[in-house]
Amino acid sequence: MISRRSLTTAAGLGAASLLTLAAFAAEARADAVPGEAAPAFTGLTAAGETISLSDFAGQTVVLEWTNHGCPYVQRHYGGNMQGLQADAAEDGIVWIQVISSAPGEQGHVDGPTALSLNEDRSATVAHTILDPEGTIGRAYDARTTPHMYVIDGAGVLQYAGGIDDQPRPRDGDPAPTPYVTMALDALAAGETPDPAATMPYGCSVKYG
Amino acid sequence: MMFRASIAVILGLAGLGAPAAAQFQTDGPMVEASLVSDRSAVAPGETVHLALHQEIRPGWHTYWRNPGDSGEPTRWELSLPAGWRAGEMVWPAPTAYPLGPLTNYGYSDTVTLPVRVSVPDNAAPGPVTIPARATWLVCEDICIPEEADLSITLDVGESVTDPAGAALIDAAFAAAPEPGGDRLGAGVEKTDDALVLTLAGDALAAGPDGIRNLEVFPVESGIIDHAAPQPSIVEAGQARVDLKSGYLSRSGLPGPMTLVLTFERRAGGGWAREALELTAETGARVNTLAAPALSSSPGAALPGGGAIDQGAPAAPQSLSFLQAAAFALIGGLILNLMPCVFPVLSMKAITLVEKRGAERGEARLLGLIFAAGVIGTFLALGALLLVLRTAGLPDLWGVQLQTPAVVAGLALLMFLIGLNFLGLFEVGTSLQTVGSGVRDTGRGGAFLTGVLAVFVAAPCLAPFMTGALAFALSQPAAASLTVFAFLGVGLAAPFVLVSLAPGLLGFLPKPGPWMVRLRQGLAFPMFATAIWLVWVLVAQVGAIGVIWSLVAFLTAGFAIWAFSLKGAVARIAGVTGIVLAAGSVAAASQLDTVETVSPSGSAWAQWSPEAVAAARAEGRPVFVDFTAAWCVTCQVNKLGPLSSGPVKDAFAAHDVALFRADFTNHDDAIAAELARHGAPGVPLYLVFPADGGAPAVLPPLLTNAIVIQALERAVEGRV
Repeated sequence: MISRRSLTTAAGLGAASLLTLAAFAAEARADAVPGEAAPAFTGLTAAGETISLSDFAGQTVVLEWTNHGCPYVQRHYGGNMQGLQADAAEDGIVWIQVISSAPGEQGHVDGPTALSLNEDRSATVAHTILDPEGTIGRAYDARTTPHMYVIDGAGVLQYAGGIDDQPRPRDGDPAPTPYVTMALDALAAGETPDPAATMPYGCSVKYG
Repeated sequence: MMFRASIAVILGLAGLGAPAAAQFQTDGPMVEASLVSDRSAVAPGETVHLALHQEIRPGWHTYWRNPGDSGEPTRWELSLPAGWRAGEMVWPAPTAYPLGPLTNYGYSDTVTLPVRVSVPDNAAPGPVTIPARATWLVCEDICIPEEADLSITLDVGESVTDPAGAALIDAAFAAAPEPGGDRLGAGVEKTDDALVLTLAGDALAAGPDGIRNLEVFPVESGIIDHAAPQPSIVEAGQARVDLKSGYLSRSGLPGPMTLVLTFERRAGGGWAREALELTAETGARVNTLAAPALSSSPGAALPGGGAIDQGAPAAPQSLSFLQAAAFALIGGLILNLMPCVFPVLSMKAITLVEKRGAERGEARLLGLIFAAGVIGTFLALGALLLVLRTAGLPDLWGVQLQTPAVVAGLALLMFLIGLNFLGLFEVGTSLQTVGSGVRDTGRGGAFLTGVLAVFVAAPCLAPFMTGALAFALSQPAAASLTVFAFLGVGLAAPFVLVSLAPGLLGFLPKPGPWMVRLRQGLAFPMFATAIWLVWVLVAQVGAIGVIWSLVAFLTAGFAIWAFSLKGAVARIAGVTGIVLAAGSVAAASQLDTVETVSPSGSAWAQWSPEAVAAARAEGRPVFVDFTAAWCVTCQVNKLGPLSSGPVKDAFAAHDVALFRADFTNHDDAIAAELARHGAPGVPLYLVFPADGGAPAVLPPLLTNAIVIQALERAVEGRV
């Protein structure tokens, strides 16, 4: 006969199984999917502040994964990226750089270095988040530098992918399709960006 | 598609012009590029092949047409004289390079990218210099864009073969995928977040004995999650590969999926890689194979692509069904002798001894109920694993002990059972623990003893049952569950035999005062198990975890004492103790997991795919120990053969690079690597030969001779 005690035991074992399942579930890779809520994050900025995505409710947020040693990043910081950042600032858009390079990897910098890099490049960003553990990078499945994300005021991810469609423009190529600009323009016009997801290109994010 | 720029590489046909560029060879820092041809002189009207040949610095790679998660395909274009025509570039089948959570597709060491060029009938005799411009990205940890202006001069006149160039170009064509549509039909169907690729046709007629290591490389980036494992199952004439959706296919496939399928075919004494280019119809299944487990090894991490890897051990799924069932039965029997099971065995012994005085019929019944508990639990766990498999979650056996809460809870449980055996409290009043259930000599108790036996046995299962489990998980549900049931039969068999056969029962000693002493003595294996579990907890969450665990012991002990007293206050104190004990276990399980760091000065470096690739690039043999604190077999090997003088000498003599991958806490990269090699859990021992071939998988229980012989083979390149 199964007593009440045995039932309790069974419940205990069941709970252990559930814990195991929960551990599995927690391991499942979080993905940032356009049209769904952007993964929440809290990070330490180069200036030493702690900021969260929720701090910017009501504002459009751009996330830019960056690594100053990556040739693709360097190409866009030839002027294109600074232009996008300045336009965004003018439109009240919160532009956040994220550096997910692990210590010892290319692009890993401390706060003061990150700030002086931006100063030297005349980059005007709202914040630079240092993410050496790669926590935010993995939550967003950030794969390359640059890898761009646009989040609307309601916290919904509206665009994820490349900054444009030309990894290495050559003479005679048509002008690049500026995906990020298109996404920001669409949001400003109250529309859904199209495309909402493109292939990011560049160097791999240097996770540890 | 809108992503044309980075996906389709189309050779531009620059127009006229008689370029007089001087011969120029780039000597880029990471890639040495040259332009080669299979003819040094061509006849008018003939077809010649020109190719970009890259010599890539060890450890670096350039990219395939779909570069994977990052990177950029190599591009090159010729400036041909008027009337000359170039075809499309031919891409040899790529290799997958995992980089942490990302995966790239490309080439290492050398690659040759040919293109067909047709010479016009009216080509004027004499030398023709053809310039070409090539750009590529070359990456190791970091990436460098490189480019080169190249040229080659061909004589138009009598056709003359260039043997060196022809050899490179022939090899490139041999490594390139053939159109496979007539040899293999393909369909791809989207399920929740998976893409089920089914294949059927003559190309796979050899079945699992002759075909292995299926890998899928979609031509378009973003269709699949490049880094996800690709579990596959092969049967005669058909196969199924489960892929994970990429961002482009999350809400449905954009159209038929063009892909390159690579696999290894048994050829002579070894395995040769083949590649087919296929187009899979969307929403179609071309066979009815069930979902495979994460057991087939894509072998993707092997630099050099492994054109031939000779004599590698047979994949676990090549076990036949009967063999797997037999192994499961034997494994279950052996489990009775394992240290994980020993405490449960002790409890079983007590139950049995106490039943000695009871009716024989009752003992017989209890034996069968115990067996039902064991087999039922195995079936339930098998079903759970099947559900996890369907859900696409990592289904590694033994990982329940990776959850600190389970470890802390089991440690407390073992402690309580020990106290119970010592007679500090008797079961049957209000304290309700697993231990008390197990002590119950009734039928429910017998059943639960069976349940607990399986739970405690799980960590010991993997080392002995690797093959059978891998087989089980790669089979349809019914076959899979049968194997699990046989494991249960094996584990329960000795107990059932004793309870069924009166003769055997007669060998058991008669009841008496010794029983009390035996029971008290058996408390100590319980405490020993508790110590072992606390030690596992140290490895998982650090010293603070021990404190919380000991606090749990203390408060649980207090609760037992309080319940032994009479009155409401004692009851309240007892309940408080239980709550505090539960809270302590919860606190221990909430701690952050700690990184296990090899002690400085250790010969063993921390494992990572990159570190292994780097050591292999230096031409060193590599030994990888996949281990965990909760894995008893791992510890036996670590303290035994792997620490013994002769093995250490062999490591030193062959300059073996040693890596240890600690799976005490869950780690995605390690889980992926285990799956890649068909191991359902730790231990796993890999020996990579010095010549860059496929690794040898050593048996779970090592001896000095096994390790030393494997190292010798690795150095001689015979693995």
